[in-house]
Amino acid sequence: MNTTFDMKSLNIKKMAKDMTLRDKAKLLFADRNLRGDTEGKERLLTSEEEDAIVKDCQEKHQIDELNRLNSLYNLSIFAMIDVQTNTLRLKHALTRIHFFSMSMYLKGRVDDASLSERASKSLGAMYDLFSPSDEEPEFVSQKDKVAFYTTREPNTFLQKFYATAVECCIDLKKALYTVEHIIKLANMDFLHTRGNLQVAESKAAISDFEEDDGIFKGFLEIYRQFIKMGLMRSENFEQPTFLALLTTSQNLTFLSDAEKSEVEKQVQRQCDRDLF
Amino acid sequence: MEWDFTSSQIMKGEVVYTQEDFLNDLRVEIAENFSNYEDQKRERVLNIFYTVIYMHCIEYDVDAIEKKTQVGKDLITLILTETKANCSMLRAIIMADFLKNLKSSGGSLSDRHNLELINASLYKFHHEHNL
Repeated sequence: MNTTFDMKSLNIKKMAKDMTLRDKAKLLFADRNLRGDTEGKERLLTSEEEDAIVKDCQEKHQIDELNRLNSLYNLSIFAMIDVQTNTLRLKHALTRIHFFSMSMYLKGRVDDASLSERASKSLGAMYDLFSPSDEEPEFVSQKDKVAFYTTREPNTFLQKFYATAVECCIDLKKALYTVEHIIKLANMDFLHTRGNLQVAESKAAISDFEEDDGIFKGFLEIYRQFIKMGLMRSENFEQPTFLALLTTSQNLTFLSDAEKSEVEKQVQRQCDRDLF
Repeated sequence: MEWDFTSSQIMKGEVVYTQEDFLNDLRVEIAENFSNYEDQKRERVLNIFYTVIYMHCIEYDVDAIEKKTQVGKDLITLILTETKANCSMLRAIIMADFLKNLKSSGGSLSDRHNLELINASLYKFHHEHNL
């Protein structure tokens, strides 16, 4: 389909005089979006038409508002880059969790099968269920056993990967909220097709992380059982986020009102900086 | 003891029958068979019966059971002969817990760590009931 729109058949310069500011702004941004999507190969407006719209805004004393919308539009571009970057970060973090969990699962199977000490060692204590390691000393008494259990915590690599994923998820939610807030301030949806697809992909990545139902979830159940039976410590984990995950029902990636407020203030600061 | 379900049904999770249930049923049976005993003595009998059944269930031999319970081999052998079904049932209960742990972990739990959980659970149960 030929997406080039033959604007020569419409007199934009004339039409601009009857357009509302919002419609003029939408046209300008749609033109910029198309240029962005096609790497400058296609556009909706000619340079003269673009100038005519801006000149009309100047004549009608609408330029301040147009500048405000323009500033928000520019912010939305940068915010979408943040969304894209943080989506990749979250996906990478989730992949690491999956890969590591699978390695831990395999280590467990190798240990069970007692295939060979060499096979077990090649997978390494790094993939043990617990840190410092799964090896238990000889216990002289029940008291020794209980003391030993207080030294055990979930695999610290797994903890770290999870904590990183939580950070990435929160950063992504903040980036998405930034875009949402900008659109709300402008009262105009700047997102074009690619932007909407990106937002959908980002939300799917968040959902994949928050609703993960794989091997990692299985390990969380195991750790909860071990805490319940007193076979592992239940405080002072290397990563407090992981402890909260096991012992509370708190949503660790929830964006608080305070965090949202901070995002809103940041957007305002950026706007003010652009305009002045 | 007699049940209207099988040990296989317990292992498959079709019937929920716990260690607590087993101990209570055993207590009732001891009370019926030793009704002339005082409470304290009946508890001692329960303790012996349970320990013999449990240790046999986890594959200790008669010598080891004798050493632990201080009960003579003849009595141990008699108890085991009379309580064959009880041993199967207790074994099924422990196995059901093992399988339940495995299922709730989505298969991620290794046998070794599963045994650790089972042993801790058994230890806690025995401690709570002075067994």
